[in-house]
Amino acid sequence: MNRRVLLVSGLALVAAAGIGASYILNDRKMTETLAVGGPFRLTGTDGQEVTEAALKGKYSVFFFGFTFCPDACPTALNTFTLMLQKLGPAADMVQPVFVSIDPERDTPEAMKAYLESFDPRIIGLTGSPEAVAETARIFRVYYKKSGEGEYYLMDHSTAIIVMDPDFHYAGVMNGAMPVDEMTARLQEIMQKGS
Amino acid sequence: MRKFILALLATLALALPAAAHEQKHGDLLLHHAWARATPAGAKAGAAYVRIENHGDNADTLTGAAAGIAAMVEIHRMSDENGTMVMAPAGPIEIPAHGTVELKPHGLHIMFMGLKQPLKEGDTFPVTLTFAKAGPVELQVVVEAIGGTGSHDGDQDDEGHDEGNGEGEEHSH
Ligand SMILES: [Cu+2]
Repeated sequence: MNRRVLLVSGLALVAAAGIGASYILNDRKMTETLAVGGPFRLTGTDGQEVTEAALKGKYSVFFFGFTFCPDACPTALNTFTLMLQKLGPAADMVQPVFVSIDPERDTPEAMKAYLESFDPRIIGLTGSPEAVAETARIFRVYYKKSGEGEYYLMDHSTAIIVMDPDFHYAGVMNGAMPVDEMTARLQEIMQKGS
Repeated sequence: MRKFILALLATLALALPAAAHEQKHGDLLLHHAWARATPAGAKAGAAYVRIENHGDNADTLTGAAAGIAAMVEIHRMSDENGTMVMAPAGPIEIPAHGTVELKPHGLHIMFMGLKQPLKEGDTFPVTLTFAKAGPVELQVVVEAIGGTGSHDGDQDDEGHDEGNGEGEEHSH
């Protein structure tokens, strides 16, 4: 198969996956650019390594944020908490995941304490700055440190990425969605996939 | 009977800050200062308030101070193509006969280095400083983590302006 055919079929795949044209396809990096989400290696709140293997079999719902976040992050986690209640038995098929993009501050212990204020089914992941950067790259999530000193801030994307039980990209939601909208959107994604 | 009256007074005293939660300061009317409860161990939090200027001259919100955190700043949060960006807002003009609303996903009083978590039902003082009207101390009421700042604490009450990016500025 020549490059052109690869590029065209690649574009078709991207369109089919509903990812849209927001990614610049460069023919060398194309195979990488196709996927949103994929294998990762991070650290759970107990300090143990967590990979995608632990999430297979359920729809995992990834939100990237940080604990030094006054608004968007607690709001999204609170929405996850309410969504799990709304889903009822279907919640058994859902695994919400909060990934820190601020590993400097967000130790496994800090993540653990923070998540105690939300539904215990939400898992928290952090890791070395390199592991977090690599995971964000795989999930096409943007983040950037802003400001200096102890109280620096993080700019971060509020996209929520849903992976199916085989850990393939299934859809995207937004952290600012009200709970009813997010629940409906997730149900839609899960129906499409089954 | 005496016990009953004491209990009644105590209840009233508790209910008071949440009920008539409005404060006049010169030409300014500060309406319903509130914060969301913070998750365990959180070192950051935010408070919100609506500022109405009933005077013929603009005023400027120049800063905020509070004992509950090591550092307090007025921040602006905005959603830029799906990225949440937060930064110090600088001085904020309150136009003559205008309103500026500090609210979630927009302008907020940011607490950095919280000394203790903000707990639902608590109140704490925050001082806002205005260029003309000078400093004013507000009692901030802490609502639930998922609170929206609506007066009865109902989640859906203020649904009409949910999720839009900026602190609102409009005339009335
Ligand atoms: Cu802030």
